[in-house]
Amino acid sequence: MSEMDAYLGVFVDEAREHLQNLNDSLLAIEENPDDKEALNEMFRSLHTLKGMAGTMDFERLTKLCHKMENFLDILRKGEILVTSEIVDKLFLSVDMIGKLIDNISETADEGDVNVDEMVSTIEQMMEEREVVEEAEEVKEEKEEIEETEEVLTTLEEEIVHVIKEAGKQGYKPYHLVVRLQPETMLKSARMYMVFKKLEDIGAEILKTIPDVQSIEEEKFDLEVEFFLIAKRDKSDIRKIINTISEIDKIIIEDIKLGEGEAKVKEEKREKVETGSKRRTRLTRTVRVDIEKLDTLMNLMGELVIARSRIVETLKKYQIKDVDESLAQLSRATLDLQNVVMKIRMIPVSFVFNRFPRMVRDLSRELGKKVNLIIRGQETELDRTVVDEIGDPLVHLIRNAIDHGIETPNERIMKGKPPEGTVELTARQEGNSVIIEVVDDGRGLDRMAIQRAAIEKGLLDESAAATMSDEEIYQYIFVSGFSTKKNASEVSGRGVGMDVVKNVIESLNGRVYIQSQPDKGTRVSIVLPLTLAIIQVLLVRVAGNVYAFPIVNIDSAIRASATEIKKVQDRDVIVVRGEIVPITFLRRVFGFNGVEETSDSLNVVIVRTRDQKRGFVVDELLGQEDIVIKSLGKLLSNIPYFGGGAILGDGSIALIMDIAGIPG
Amino acid sequence: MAKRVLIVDDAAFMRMLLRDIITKAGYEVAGEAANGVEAVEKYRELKPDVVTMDITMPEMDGIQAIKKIREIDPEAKIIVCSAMGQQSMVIEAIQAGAKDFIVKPFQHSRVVEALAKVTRE
Amino acid sequence: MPEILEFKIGKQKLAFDVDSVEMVIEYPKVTPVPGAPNFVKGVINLRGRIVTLVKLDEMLDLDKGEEEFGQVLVLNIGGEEVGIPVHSVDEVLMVDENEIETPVSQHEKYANKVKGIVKKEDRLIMYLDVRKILNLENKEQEG
Repeated sequence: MSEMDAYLGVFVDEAREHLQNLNDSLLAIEENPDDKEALNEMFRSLHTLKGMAGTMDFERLTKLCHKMENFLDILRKGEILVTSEIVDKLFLSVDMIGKLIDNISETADEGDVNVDEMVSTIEQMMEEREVVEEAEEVKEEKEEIEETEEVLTTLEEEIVHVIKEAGKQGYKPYHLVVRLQPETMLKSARMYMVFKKLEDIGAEILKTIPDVQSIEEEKFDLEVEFFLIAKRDKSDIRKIINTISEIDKIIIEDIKLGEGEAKVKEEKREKVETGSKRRTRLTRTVRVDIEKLDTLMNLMGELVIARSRIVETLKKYQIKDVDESLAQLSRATLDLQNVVMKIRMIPVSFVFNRFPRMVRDLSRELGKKVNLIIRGQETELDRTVVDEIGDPLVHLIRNAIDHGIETPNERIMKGKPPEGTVELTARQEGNSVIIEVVDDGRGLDRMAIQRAAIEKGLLDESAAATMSDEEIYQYIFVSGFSTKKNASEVSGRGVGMDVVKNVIESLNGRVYIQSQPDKGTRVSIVLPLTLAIIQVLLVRVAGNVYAFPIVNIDSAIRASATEIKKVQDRDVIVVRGEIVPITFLRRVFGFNGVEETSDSLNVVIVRTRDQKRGFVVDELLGQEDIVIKSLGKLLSNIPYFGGGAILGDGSIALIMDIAGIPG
Repeated sequence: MAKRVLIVDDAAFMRMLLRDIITKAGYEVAGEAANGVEAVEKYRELKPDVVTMDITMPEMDGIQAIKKIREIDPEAKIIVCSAMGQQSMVIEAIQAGAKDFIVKPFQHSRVVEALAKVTRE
Repeated sequence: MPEILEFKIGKQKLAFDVDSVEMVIEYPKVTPVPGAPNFVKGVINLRGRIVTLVKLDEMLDLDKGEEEFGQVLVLNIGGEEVGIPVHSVDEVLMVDENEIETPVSQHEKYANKVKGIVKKEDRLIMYLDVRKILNLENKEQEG
């Protein structure tokens, strides 16, 4: 059982890849019902998924995939024409596969999904086919033949080459099938003995079906196929394999590279092109527990700190001799730091992939035409960030389609093309990654937002008049803010732009909005490349050092004590014409004493969720890159700080969680 | 002449069981050992035709013992006895030179098959 | 037979299971943490890790006297490190189960936090239950 559990993670991961593949192919089929490659791709994914599900005893998933696979086979042969009705049904069944995988992922069980109805729907669609029942059996057989064909054609060019070269040295190529007895235990170990025996006689195994990894993971039924070269003859090999226990059947045949081989090769050339495309996707990977990466990151941080301490000490004693080796150490540390951070990075395609499907469903539901353009999905971000941005992006894209893009009629009236465009792009700029959702819809309604803000008492009329559009747009990020009277079912689900902003800010990121009436809206999310190391402004308050994340900072100013005014019992300061509430950190933190003896104060101006805030500190110490460390469980829920960092001199700087500090 | 078998297992019960199966199948039990160290000593002393070797044992485990015995006698014929789920250890044992493996709980026929295959080789 | 580490806060003799004590260090520089629960003294840099110092005297309502703390006991509870400032660390004792008495009067603050009172020669040692004192899940809510 525990062995099965170990496979489950791999199963779910792989099944999800196939699910994505199914969705992608189906979208392509919808676009162009004659897309043979997409039909084939979908067929292959279903076939593989069926096999995987079968191995894991997920009966309903197996059944559903099996039916769909048969149906796809009919479709790809052109025996039934692909209609939009069929595509819809297939989308529904793909969703059902998704549901099953979700359940399996959460509970290791298929849950309460009932596939029977879907299976009979597919059966009904299959009956449309003109070919009658008797052909059924023939077809099943044909399918098998086709599979073996596929097997043979996957003898890659390289292998053919090896076989030919080895032939010159007296090696003969064989195709060997070894079947184990049905009750065999530890099948992998048993198959390993076959490998061992073959290697002992100097045979070289070129390829196995399934591949070696699957054999190691015991992902095979009873049979394994070997493609090998050896100097011994067939009967010798058979005899040697026969000395292994629990072998049921051995089939060994010569592999013939006949006259037709050259032709096969020609065809292959073309296939290799497309094949290599697929191969790039299968990059060599190792699964690593994210906790191990965190540990690595921590160690890395300690190394960085140790280095800066050495630098400080050397500076103190003015030791110059080590400058060069020190520079080398610095470079190496930096490189290492980069590598470690890269390991944690994954492409944003992990979240972007789901949007084509979502946009399709949504635009249909709303009777709109939307063309989704995705760019930069290969841009990489820290894994934690990628995991978090999914929901905010879903929300932004829903908004763009629901509120932004007009109906085709409306668009025609405005002189726009009936099909709207939503662009989802990602790109790296310096230490940030910028993700944008851009639509060419109706744009934000400044007046509506302004009215709503005034109604809610967030803004007064005179202030509103002086504000820029962008400042007004910021109000849509305020919690509970919605201008739409009847929020549609799509984007009015109680989660608003405030949630989007909260999530992004919790990742040390920021959100910007630009909009033009009838031209469209652009929402930009700026995220730090990595989470664990951040840039901060270090400040001193009552002898202690605190760190403000740079992303939060607007500016740092000096102000004379007289500039601080009282407005409704709150201290405020006017910065570039804007009224900014001020917090004296000494007071909030319960330290006694005054900020500075001189009459000028250091104020750090910070942008928070919906406004600017100023924090009075004793001294500004400068900017630094720090490694964020946890404060431990006892302090995990304290209000003012989200973590700590160890500075070059060994002291601790607490990292400010601005939202948690009362105004 | 009957082939002679050395039984290595830390559980007396398992040794008893194996002795029973082995004798009934017409082999002679040359001796028994309860851990890897003892196994190596007994091998040197008794020169058996076949060894059945448990994997998890105190003092010296089966895999180490296989390596030691194969150092003494590269031709030694050793059958590994493993529990279910010890796949990777079985593979390690085969790499170390074990000729076959049997899985607990033992099926008579499998033990006999393994002995036959190994001694015939 | 439990092995315990005896230490002092003020005049009070206390002890933890030896197994839960990771190390004893000189009293280090402490960084205060504004807004933390009042039993938290602050945080320290322990070989590059940030470790919380807990005021046991505050937690158990002990009289710590005038003297400054000289040492910190670093406890490791399931991988989570916590420091306890103490006046002195005295010795490791082997105690017999029958040398441990269940305390009769239960001050509310001690409830569940004391495993018992150890009587050794003329000394009375409060044998504390580390896990209960630093019940990390509960502390989060109290804090």
